[in-house]
Amino acid sequence: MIDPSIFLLSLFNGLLYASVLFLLSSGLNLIYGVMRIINLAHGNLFAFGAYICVWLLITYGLQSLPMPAWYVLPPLVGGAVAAGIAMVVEPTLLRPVYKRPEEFQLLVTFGVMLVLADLLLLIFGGIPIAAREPYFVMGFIDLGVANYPIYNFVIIGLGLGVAIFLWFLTYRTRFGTMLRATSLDQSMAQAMGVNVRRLMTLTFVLGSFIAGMAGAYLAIKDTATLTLGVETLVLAFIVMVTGGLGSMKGAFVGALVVGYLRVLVTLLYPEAELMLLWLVTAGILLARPQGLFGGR
Amino acid sequence: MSGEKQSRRSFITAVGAGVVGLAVGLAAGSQVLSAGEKVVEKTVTLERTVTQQGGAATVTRTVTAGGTARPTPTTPIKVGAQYLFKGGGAVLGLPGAYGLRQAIKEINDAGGVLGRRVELLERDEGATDATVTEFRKLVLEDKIDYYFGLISSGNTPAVGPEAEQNRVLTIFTDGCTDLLFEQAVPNPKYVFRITNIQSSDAFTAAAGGVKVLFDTGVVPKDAKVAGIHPDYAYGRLIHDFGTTMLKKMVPEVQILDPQFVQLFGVTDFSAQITAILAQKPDVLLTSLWGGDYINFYKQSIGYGLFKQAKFITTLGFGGSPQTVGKDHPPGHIMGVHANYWFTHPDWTTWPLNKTFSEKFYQLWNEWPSFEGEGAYVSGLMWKSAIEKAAGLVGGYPDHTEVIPILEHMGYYGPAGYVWFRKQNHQGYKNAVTGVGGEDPTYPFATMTQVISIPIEKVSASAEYPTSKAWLESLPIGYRA
Repeated sequence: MIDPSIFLLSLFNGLLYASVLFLLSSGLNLIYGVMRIINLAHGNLFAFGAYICVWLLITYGLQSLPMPAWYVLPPLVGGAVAAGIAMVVEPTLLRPVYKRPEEFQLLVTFGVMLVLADLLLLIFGGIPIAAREPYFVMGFIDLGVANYPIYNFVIIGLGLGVAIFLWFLTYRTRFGTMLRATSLDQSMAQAMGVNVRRLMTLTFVLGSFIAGMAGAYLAIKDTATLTLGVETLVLAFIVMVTGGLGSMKGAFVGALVVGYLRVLVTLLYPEAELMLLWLVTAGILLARPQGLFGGR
Repeated sequence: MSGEKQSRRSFITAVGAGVVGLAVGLAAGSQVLSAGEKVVEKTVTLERTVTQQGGAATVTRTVTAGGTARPTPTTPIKVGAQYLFKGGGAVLGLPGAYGLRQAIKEINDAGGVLGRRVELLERDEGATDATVTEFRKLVLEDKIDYYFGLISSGNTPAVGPEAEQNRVLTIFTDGCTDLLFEQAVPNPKYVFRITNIQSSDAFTAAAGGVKVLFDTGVVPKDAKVAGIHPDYAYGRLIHDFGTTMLKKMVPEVQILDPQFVQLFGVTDFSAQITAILAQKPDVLLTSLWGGDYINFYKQSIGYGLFKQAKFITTLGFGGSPQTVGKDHPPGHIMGVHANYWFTHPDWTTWPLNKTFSEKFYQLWNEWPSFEGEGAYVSGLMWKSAIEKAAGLVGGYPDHTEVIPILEHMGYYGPAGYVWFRKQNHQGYKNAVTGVGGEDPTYPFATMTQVISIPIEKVSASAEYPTSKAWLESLPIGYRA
């Protein structure tokens, strides 16, 4: 019989991990959905946001910013830096290869990934950095046998917030209509007067901003480390492929499925936790090669 | 007659020329000697080709003529090194590299090794395949003379046999799995390792836990012991040996199912922490290290795991000291891989530690970890061994002449006395662990109680085939 506190913890943990997975994959999915580019640099844009946020917090923020601003300003700056990098990368490196085969795009984004990783090493050094205060200052909920960190609800809320924002943007705005039109048929969208070039840039910048901001918020809970980019990329791909390439709904549901399965398996049979993600992915792809919500 | 005269004139001319020549020669010679240089005998190498009977094979034998000194090469000594320079492992890898760099800087500042400057070639340590590939490049392309480094015990058993095969004198500065000298390189010739072996690490952590937690009644004798470890050689061994020793020392303890997580593959430990909380343990044995431990302890505070269980860590204080903040709860066993914590031995009684630590801080803006100390000492021991070998052979020694010196070598370093055991080339020094807490002198968590254990009490003696066999031979109720 599972202790009620542990049950509650597991319930929250499932939501937390699902939220983390969704935040990792949503930007990547958005970019793929509209631009048909698999952005291998996504993980390191995430890591850039993480590093910038933690660095700002430990260098300036904790002393000079009022406490509530810790949770807003450094993560937004982290996201903005990632967006700034995207603003440079898209027109200079990606645009010339849009019409080329996918291998070119993979190579370019892989190159950008390596350059960003070395930039992080150059700027911040090899040792992981962590800002602990914002995580601890929020306090904990006492559940009897355990606590639950209140900051985790920030991550859960952020995941939900980003999901609602992306849904609203895609289905309830004129920009979203243009996004969907471009995703379906670029030439037709252009013929209908959509500035596809500008739309591509905006999509890439928005996807990268979400990555950077997500990295920043998660780094407050964890640490900013150089291998974050690759680890993140792998997880993001799993969710993306499971949910269906380019499908936001798929990413959302995929993240929830993987998040709760992980919590359950870790609780009942921890040895299987490592292979769980891969098993789920393989199982779903065998049954539905296009992913849960991917188009054929 | 004229012939006689001519002959006499020629004779006098020849003698005169000889005298002048001798005078010039002496003057030149005295100039060389006055510059402080010695006349060095040249090594004479005799090569003889012998065709074996039947002519099937041709063997070339090279014989070095005895009694002549070998000159010191004028080229720099190339030293290769591999460390984890980025990611969660850099918390241990970088201080290791710093220690080696510091030793080499001191050696070069003092004139090099027998006058030869030391050139350090650093490469990334990574996954095992990549690490071995880089090692081969160092050997085959960069033509290194000696090799140092490695952090991960997943890597030393792969690089060790390569070093033996390529005859590269190697001093591993970590990667301390017992399997290296028990299985991967059972009869080492070229490979040595300076830091204490992992069985000693597991045993020291358990012994520290028993002394501080069990014997003082902080936790009950029948405490439930949970575990979380990285899922590779190190984590598996620490779980196996650590729980074996806890059971030996306190037979009543209950060992619960452990968690194994991918090394540096998990940043969110919420599921693992919840699973541990569900076990309701009194003690948590963990060998998470580097970035993994930093994430884990931070999230454990958030979930209240420190309230539930006392931690026994093998590497809680294993990385750069500043990486574990003052937010780390006090009163838990904070391991240093059973090797060294920079405030011990006490600086007033062991000034060598003070000098080293302060110099390390000056150079790298952080206090030394056990990795830094181990790498530093290995560099200085290596230099000392070459110089001793040179003295014995009367010339510049090759690897086979340095090895016997290292095999019998003891050295006083910042951590105290360290020596290599001839049989397995493993370094031994008194084992250290301690209790974490706060000291206003430092802006990070530090050891408030250091526990130093004679290494003989926590490591197998030479006659045991394996460390596990020795651990199992110990009596119930054993105390280190």
